[in-house]
Amino acid sequence: MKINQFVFLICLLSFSTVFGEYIPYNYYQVKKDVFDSDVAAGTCVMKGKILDINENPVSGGLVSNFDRSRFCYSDDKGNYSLVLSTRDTAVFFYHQNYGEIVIWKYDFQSQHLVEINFITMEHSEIPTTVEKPVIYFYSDQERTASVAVNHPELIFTYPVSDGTWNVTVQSDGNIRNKKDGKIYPYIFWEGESENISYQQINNQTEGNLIMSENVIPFLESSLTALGLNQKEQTDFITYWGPRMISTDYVFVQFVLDAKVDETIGDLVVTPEPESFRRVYMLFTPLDSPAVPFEYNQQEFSSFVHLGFTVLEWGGSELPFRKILSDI
Amino acid sequence: MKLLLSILTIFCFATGFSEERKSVPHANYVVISDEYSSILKPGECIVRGKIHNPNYYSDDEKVPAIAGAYVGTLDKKRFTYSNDKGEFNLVLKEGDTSIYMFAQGYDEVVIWNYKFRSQHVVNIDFYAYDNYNMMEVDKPVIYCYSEIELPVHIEFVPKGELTFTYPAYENGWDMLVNSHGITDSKTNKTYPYLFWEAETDDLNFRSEDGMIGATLIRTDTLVAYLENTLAQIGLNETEQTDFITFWAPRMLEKEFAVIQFLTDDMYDTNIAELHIEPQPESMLRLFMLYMPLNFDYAPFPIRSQQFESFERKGFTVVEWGGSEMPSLELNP
Repeated sequence: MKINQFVFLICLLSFSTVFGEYIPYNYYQVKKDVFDSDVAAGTCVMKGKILDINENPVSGGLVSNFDRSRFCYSDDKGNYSLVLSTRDTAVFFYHQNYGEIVIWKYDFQSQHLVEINFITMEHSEIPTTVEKPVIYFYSDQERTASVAVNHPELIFTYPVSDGTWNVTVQSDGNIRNKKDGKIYPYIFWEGESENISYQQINNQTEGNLIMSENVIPFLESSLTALGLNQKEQTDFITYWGPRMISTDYVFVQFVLDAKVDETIGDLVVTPEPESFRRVYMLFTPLDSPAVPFEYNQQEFSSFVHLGFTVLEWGGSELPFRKILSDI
Repeated sequence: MKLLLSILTIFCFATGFSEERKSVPHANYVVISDEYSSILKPGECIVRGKIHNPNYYSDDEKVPAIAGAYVGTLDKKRFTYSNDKGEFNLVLKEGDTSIYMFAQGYDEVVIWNYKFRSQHVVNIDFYAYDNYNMMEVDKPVIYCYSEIELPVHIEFVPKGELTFTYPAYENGWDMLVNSHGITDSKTNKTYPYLFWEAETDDLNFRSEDGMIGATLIRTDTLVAYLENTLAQIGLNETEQTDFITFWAPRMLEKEFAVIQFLTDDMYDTNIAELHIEPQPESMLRLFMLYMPLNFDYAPFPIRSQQFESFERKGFTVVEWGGSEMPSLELNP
């Protein structure tokens, strides 16, 4: 009997931990969806509560339709109420300190009252990895140069360094690292930053929404326009391409030159290069072509390799919530 | 009898439950008995049992029991391996609370909190389900070198499903190799290397005579380890840099890693066959399997690997790639 109880306990124990790991943390519950003659024709009222996983109310949470024409914020008791059009099909919840929740497809019917609760988990912002900036150097004649990456916080460098390198740029496009005397094709660094998001100019976001089958031609033509040579393009596409085709769509924004200094990190090369290009790609994989904000097609200024040339490319995959927060 | 029935009921319930929820790991264990035995020395506890393969069907080529599985404490101070019949016999000390079972290709089973008591024999059966994790065969890149211009035709047969190629691969690559790189004669574009990526659910560390040729490293020495090993195997500076900048950042996520290199023939049979016309005068293929770990031992017996040196001659082809193997999580 004693053993029996014990075994029972063990089984329960193993089971509850298994179960515990798989509770969905951010989800929504449709409480009811009923006809209501008080609701105007052509509209649908959506209301409910935003709660954390301990059932405490979450205030100040944004609930919005996808084009952000209709939105509201939750009150102190976590209550929200939003009048939607019957043309709306997708709604999301966003809060800076909580997990986002998207209702991708819901049939909001005319003169209906829909009660939906959002259950969300508090979370802290995960730093974005500034991935794989690689720096190429070109010079007709051999010359020495010093290179420094001052920001963001570095997590990996190659050749291994504290963020500064003294190199000899060779005429074949390779560099010799003074510290170990070895030859490298480029300098590599990776960092972490908490403040990377899509850039806006005059309150307008520029970018492109690309279907996954068009990712490679899109990158080839954009990178050519941006001045990357064939080798740089191949390095770029083979690094990012596989990750950009994981979903049906991807939203892409290129950040260039001075904007990279401002938002991603400083790169100082002495002597000053005659041509200097920094290309940084931000992207978010999407399951649907709906991008929840307005954007303009991005066009690029061209770039010519001239004399002592430095070209850097890198990028970051931004989570979907970065798009939601860009209101 | 009553006892047996209740165990069976609970077990059926537990597995039935996990069938329903797809994301629940298919792994489990059953404590059959836990009894005092005066034969044992004070302070000693014996765990014995069998490791079952629930994916076994009689007409399948799989066996009902799993041999060579590790069963032991989390700190690996006390451990054993299952025999051909899947049976194991593990001697523990009083005070041990957690043990785990691990066999390559199966989900691991961890018993987190069990009071292993002095002079007790505990009968535990493990049920290790097949591990169907899809693994990415990441970034195999193929470099071709030739001083004299040479038209080449390259075909490969990957073990899994292709997910990405660059340039586009259509019944092979037809390229012109010269001292500038690899040129697609149709588009006149020149590439530094050819790239492909695939997905497979059938990739494991290779073992020989029950031992796996691999190295356990602390990741703070990773870069130096890779530089030495890749140089020894015969990658040049550009290839080394491409390799290290691709792999090292992701391998640094955990404090330790166990690393195995597959070369040449092993690459052919385990990852992909590569057919090149004309035949290269020298060819090096190198594939890295690694498992990130947050503890300082390999979860299987390992021995060091030896590499033959590589000499470049005439038309030369070098390929490297790798895969991260699912890690063993032993943090409660």
